[in-house]
Amino acid sequence: MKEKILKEAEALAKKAKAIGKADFKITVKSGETSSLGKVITTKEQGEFFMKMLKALE
Amino acid sequence: MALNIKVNLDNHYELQLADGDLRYSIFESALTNGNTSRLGIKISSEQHPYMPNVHNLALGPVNEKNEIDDYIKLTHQDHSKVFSTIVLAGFTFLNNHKDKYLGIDGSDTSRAYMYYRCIQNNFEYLNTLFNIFGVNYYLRVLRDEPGGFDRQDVLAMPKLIQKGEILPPVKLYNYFIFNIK
Repeated sequence: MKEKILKEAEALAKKAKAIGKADFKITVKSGETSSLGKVITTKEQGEFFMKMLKALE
Repeated sequence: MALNIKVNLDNHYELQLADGDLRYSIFESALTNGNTSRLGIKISSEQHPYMPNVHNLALGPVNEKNEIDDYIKLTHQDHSKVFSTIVLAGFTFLNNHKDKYLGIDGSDTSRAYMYYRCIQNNFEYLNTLFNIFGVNYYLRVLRDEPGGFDRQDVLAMPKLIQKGEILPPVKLYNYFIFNIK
């Protein structure tokens, strides 16, 4: 199953490369910053969070 | 609210990619009233100063100003097909950016519940593709008295989501994160 999905994802990525950079911008009504982005406000918090995330992988 | 979602990447809408970095894509979803809605998926390009590899994924109908309305609730004919299309867009992005993480906001209880049910109902399928994390936010307790919390001092704690984990709605994760396996 994963092989098939990988093939499709690679075909989509190839198609996207041909498009290049978007000449327009899509914005999000609720704002561009996620709730997590609002919660992590210091370097220490960010480093701690990323360390925890990587340790769980 | 759609809860019986079956993710199947063999059953998705056609994704129209809008940029080479796979951050913007659009597809048409059929609604129950017979109309269609043009839905946009946006993976944030802004880098958070302290989490440069975590990118938010937003979804919703796109208006003529290229704005995604991520608050609106639509009744899709085939919620499974909509979610499968989003999963395909996310997987394609992560497969091309293997060091990155995609995040989805469980901004309110009904949305968090829908995402959580979708993850649990499709856990075996999704777990072959992604590591799936739930994130809880914890507030610093100052004193055992009214208002005794520091709302600026928040700890974000990730956890690997487990199959069959049961959480009461009030304790659902605040945020969901995926990276590629």
